[in-house]
Amino acid sequence: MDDSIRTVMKRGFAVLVVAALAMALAPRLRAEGAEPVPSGAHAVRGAEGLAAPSAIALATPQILATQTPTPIPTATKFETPSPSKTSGGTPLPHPSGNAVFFSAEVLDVQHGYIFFSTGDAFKLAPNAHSVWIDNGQPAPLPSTRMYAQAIFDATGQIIELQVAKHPLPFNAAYAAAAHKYAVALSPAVPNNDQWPAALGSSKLNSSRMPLTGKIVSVRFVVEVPPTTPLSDAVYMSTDVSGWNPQAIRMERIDALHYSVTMPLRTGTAFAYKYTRGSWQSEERSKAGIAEPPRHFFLGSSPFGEPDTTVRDDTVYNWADFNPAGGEQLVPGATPTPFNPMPFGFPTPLPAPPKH
Amino acid sequence: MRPLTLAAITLLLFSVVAKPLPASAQIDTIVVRAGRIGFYSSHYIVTADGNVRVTLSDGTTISGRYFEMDLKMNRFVVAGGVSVVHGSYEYSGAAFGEFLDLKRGYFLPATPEPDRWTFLDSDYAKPVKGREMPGDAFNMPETGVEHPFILAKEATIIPKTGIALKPARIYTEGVYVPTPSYYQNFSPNPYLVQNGLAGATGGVGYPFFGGPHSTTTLFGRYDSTNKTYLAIEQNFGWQNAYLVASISPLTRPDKEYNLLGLIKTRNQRFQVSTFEQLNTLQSGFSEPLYSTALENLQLTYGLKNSFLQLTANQYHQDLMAEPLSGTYGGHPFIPNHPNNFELAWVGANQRISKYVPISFRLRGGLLTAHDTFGLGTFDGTPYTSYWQHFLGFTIFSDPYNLTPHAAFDQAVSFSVTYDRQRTFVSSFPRFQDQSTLTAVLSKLQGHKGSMYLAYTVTNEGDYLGALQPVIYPPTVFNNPYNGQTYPGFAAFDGFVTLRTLQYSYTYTPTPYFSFTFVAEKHKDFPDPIPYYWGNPPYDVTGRIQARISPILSVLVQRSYFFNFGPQGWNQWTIQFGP
Repeated sequence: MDDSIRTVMKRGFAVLVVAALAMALAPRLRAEGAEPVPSGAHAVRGAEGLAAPSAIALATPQILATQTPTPIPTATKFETPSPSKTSGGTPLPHPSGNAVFFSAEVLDVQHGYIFFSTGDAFKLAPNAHSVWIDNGQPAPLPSTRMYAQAIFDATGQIIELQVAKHPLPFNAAYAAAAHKYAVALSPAVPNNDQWPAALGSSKLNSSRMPLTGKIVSVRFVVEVPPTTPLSDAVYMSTDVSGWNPQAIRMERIDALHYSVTMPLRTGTAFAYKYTRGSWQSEERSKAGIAEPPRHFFLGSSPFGEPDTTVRDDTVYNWADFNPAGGEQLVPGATPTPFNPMPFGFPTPLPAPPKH
Repeated sequence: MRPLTLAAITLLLFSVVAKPLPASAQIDTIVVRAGRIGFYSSHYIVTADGNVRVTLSDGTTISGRYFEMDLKMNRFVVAGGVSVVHGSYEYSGAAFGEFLDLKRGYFLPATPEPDRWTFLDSDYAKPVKGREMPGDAFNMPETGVEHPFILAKEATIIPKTGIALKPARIYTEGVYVPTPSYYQNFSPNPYLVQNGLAGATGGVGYPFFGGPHSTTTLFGRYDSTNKTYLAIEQNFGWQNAYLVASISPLTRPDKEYNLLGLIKTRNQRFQVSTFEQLNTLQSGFSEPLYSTALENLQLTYGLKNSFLQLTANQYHQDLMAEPLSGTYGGHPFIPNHPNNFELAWVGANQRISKYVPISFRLRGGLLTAHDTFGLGTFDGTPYTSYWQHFLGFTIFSDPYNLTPHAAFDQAVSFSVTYDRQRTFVSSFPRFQDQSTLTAVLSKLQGHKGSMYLAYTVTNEGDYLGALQPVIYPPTVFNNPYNGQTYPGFAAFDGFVTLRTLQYSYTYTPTPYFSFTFVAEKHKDFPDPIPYYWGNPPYDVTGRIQARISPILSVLVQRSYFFNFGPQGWNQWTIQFGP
């Protein structure tokens, strides 16, 4: 007995080591594209149009066009801008005169203008030149999907483009300063879709508070039927995980509750259902019906965006619950006249040997 | 020609020539053709470059150098030398962005000077010039250094539903494997992903065809009996209904033909679901050597705080004619075709009082079974049908927080659940009782760990009155597997008691990985018999579940039984799942 316990403990330790290794590998797997779910990592886009990369799992924000007034810092591997570029939007000294720096993704260069993903078009000076930002070597004019940092002269024309194939740091203050140089044939017309007017009428977020994509700790707590087997796991299945019935495993809080906590950005929206690991054991409503998915939207309150929030749900029934007891029919079940078994219950003999 | 007539003809010609495509049309499909299309499945992003041509379902075409669409956000951008053709209207510019959900199109014309145009309600004939644009109108999400999951030349995107790519080269272990087509469903409707397959240890799906309401998937699967084989599944899904048909294995003689279906009313009150399975032993699709089947139909009607459910099952033990030899290739012919019907009422949770933290739920129903060929014998009498009815209840407490001042993630709670059901067999003097009492002590250990200690007592009793010793005669059991005799078994007379003390600890560092350790102590009456009956005195189980991709997870489990004859280590369980 003692030997067997020692053997088991040794092997148990081996299992724990394997578990630790698997845990260590898990982030790497995710980083390599084994996207955690809710997957998609769709951050709320800032007004400057650059998505904020995120190491956390994010679901899909749905109403971004009208709700993203505040830029989100963009993390890149690029070096920090030189000190001369960090004092706001005030024109700074430059060999060819005062300069404003503006960086963004390039959409196109046409007819002497360069178009950025911010929607701004700027005129290129006749003597404008282009260099690679990484080594200062001459470069061709940027094309679609390249990134460029533009330096303007006093007339508002671009005299130099520093180009790269990777995202560049964005300075909202400079963007605002450069915006006055943007060329547009038609006079500006207000956009009623833009926050705050549209936000107030939004069904999803009626608080009239802006959504900045702030990361919020969201805890989902679900109450399950008292007949739920103790040893069963409960999962969240979401549309952003392709309705995988085992997408997000929840942990047991007590005999009736499971929970999972996820960092999500404000603006995140997704649909979800609870399962016990398969669609044959998905949740059912109080009326025993397979109801449409639940919907979650991480909005704001009249006091602003929360730091944490809790979503409470109740599962009233499971699809595989058989009121009379016995085995529920599932795909793969073996046809038998005694299913559910009318005779012999609960005789323990004779069961076939199992090896 | 009269001026009026001339004006009318001119107006008519103008209306024909300059007639725009229908305004405010819903964009149902987006067809993208390009030199290279990449689909990043983990981000739901599609990119295209090289002579990009985008055709919308209203006939509008947009061409340019680069295309990118965020399928979940339902918006796309075409950039670089963009040309938009909508009926007789043609625009050229630097970029075009469309927010399909908001029906807002944003366009940057380039000539004679740059400008900003907005198309409202997908009406590309009426640009609103100068209207301010959201800052992310032309945002193109980064895909980083990740390899596209699929490379293709043509993509048909059904917004908020799915994407079909062809020819599709699928990224597999560093290599792009050429295939004719690939369809990825990303619909918010879960009815397009219901699965009718079961039983395999692992498998990989290849959805090669699909549409707004259907998906066809070929599976490569493995199980210990059939080894590696192919299976096929056809899904149909609508707002309130689904149908799934499958054949598995497709390439092995022992086949299962499955059909799953569900339909419900819009008011979510009435639902019909079905499950049909035909099992055959056949080479290819030739005449089967034998065939069995089961049919299940379930009707559910929701009442206020309860529901009624009618379940009908029909089993066919052999669908082939009886052979002269009495066997089909070694399989004995079984003539039985039993069926059963169950009508059940299931109540919802009801609280005893708002001041008492105890709730209950009730259930009850009728059940009948029939088989012309006989269901079995009882006390020497063969029966072809029987009736039974049952009543049951569950009473349970709210989890009581034993540490009211502790933080949420350190709380300790206690709860008790008692479930009891009595089943009366109407056809003969017999009733059966089953009761389970469970007390659970739960504790969270931070946000990553949780444990519980549970004590469960299950009693099962078969009450037969005077027939008790006839049906359950005193028996001294001799186990042929270890030669051991169990004289205590003679005390068994139809009543079973199972007691289990269970400790479980689960460590969940992320929602995508968990490690569970379970230790159990059992005390059964009658005493357990290895390989035959009951639980080992002690057992421990380790279980690891990890998600290794958005569509694939793995479960590894193994148990050890203490003092249970030759049964020590159980076999490894390695299960690949969705």
